[in-house]
Amino acid sequence: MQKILVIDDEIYICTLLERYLKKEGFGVETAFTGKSGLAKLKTESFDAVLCDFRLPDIDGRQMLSEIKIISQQTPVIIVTGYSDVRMAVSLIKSGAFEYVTKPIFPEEILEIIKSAIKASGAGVVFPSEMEALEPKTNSQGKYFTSGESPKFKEALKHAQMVAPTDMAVLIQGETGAGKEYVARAIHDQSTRKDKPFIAVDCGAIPKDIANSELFGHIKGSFTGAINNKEGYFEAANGGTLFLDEVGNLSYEIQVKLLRALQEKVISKVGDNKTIKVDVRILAATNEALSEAISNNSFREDLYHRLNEFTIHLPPLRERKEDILAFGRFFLNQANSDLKKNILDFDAETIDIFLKYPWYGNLRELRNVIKRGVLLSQSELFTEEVLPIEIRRFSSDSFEQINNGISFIASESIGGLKNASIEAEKEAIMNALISARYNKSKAAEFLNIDRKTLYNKIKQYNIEVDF
Amino acid sequence: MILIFYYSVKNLQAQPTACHNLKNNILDQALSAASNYYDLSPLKAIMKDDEDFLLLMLHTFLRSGKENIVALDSCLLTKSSKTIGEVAHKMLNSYRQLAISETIHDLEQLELLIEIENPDFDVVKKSILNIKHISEIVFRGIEEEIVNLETP
Repeated sequence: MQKILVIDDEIYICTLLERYLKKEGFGVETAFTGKSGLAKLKTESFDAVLCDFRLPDIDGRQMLSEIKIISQQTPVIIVTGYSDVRMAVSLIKSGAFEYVTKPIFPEEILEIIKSAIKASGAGVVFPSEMEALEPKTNSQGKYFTSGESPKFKEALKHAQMVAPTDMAVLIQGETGAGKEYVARAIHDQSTRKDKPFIAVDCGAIPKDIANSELFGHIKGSFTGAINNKEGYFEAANGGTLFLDEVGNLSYEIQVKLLRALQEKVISKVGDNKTIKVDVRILAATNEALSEAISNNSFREDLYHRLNEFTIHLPPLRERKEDILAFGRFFLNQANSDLKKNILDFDAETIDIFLKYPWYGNLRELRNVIKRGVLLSQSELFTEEVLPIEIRRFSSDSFEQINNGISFIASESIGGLKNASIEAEKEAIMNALISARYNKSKAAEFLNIDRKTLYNKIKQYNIEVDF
Repeated sequence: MILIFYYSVKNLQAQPTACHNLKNNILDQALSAASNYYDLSPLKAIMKDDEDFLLLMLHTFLRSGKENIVALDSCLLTKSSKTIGEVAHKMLNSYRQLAISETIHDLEQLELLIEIENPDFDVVKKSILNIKHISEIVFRGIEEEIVNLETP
């Protein structure tokens, strides 16, 4: 019997999931605190863990990292409120299998648990955004989904241009923006297309085993090395190795990676012999590596090696045309997965989709649509099946910005200076609304520190609840 | 308005049996009004006709709901804003699942207190009072649902 561990401080959720999953044939254990959940993981093995993002004793990010230390292979599904979606999406990059938002729907969780167990059983250790955004091919072998915005088309055009070369490419963009999609497009249009494409999420590999995962090890090289192991470099030989979140690699690994790039040789952990490899490296990052270089956490020589060509993938909110293109693709995907037949989005939903900022990018869009399809009772996807936070975002933005409730009217209108002040106020207000008045998050959205945000709020007399 | 209605029902229940039938009719109406504040159909859809499961969840909701209301009250007294936010966060899932929509906005606002320092406690108090009032009505309705389910 497959066993699930549910960690949540709310007894209602634990009871609901425990009973529901038991009815579905799973063994279920529950824990109300992070510490008791970790204790259970140390004594029993589980096929999947469902973990609340906000536990009273340990936060979600730390829980994920502790679970991965105890049991690296166990898929972890993060349960979160909608206000933490952006954070939850980023946890996928740190090794979580998936996130689900509250209120929970057991059928949705059941489906995710099944795919998590299937994926871990199939040896897919680090599922990443590729799973969500995997480009499907039609009978002609061409993508049948793609972005329609000029910015996305430009990114794909650059991918097409660089594909036939052997240049290393650095793809920059936010989590969930589709970086792996672009990497896959490069591989599929390259001369290496019939060879392996291996995607590795560097953020999800625990630091102490990264060396062995990337370069392999020989039997007996360390405790637990009971067999020889082939690393990702060897597995990708002749093909393409996609290193997502490359900024997360330790300095020691960066040195080995640089050598692999320069000399095209690797050595396994515990082995002095070198192995020749022919691997094209594509890398991705959601952060400015130049900052990591300036504080010496990322090697500048490696950066230049990886950055022979750069493709910048803008976030979904900056390419509105893609929202519906991908939205309809995800709608079809969800129809097929859930055996439903929702024909399209209604006009109100489209309006909301276009207004919402989608900070979790394509992954968030896909999850929202999948849940909506699950809940839909009619032939059209209506706004009623959207999370209340998304519906409210649209109305809040409209009411608060247009009625000017939260602002003190400016003394005079006109002039370039006033225009820029108004734009800044609006940007701050939008960030506050989308962060649900969480100032730390709003500051993050605006890329300024919390103190600066406080000063701006005071300066512009922006009123916030409480 | 809601409170007056609720407590008048409570008073009727306490009276002797003089106008028994009339009282029962009014009580039925009051409880049916209580059911306007929540919706069990999403939960029933999950349970798929498993009444034991539904009963278990209703009992669990009552137990944790009442505990959380007590916790909100005591945190208000001590002005522990972060804990109020944490309790509201815990309540949101079940309140959303039972579609207790009159409380959702207040709970969401209180949830923000996890991150907000020095809130205006008059506003916080107003939100907590509203949640308490609606919850009391809902608890009564759920208790009645339990009685109906447990009566053969």
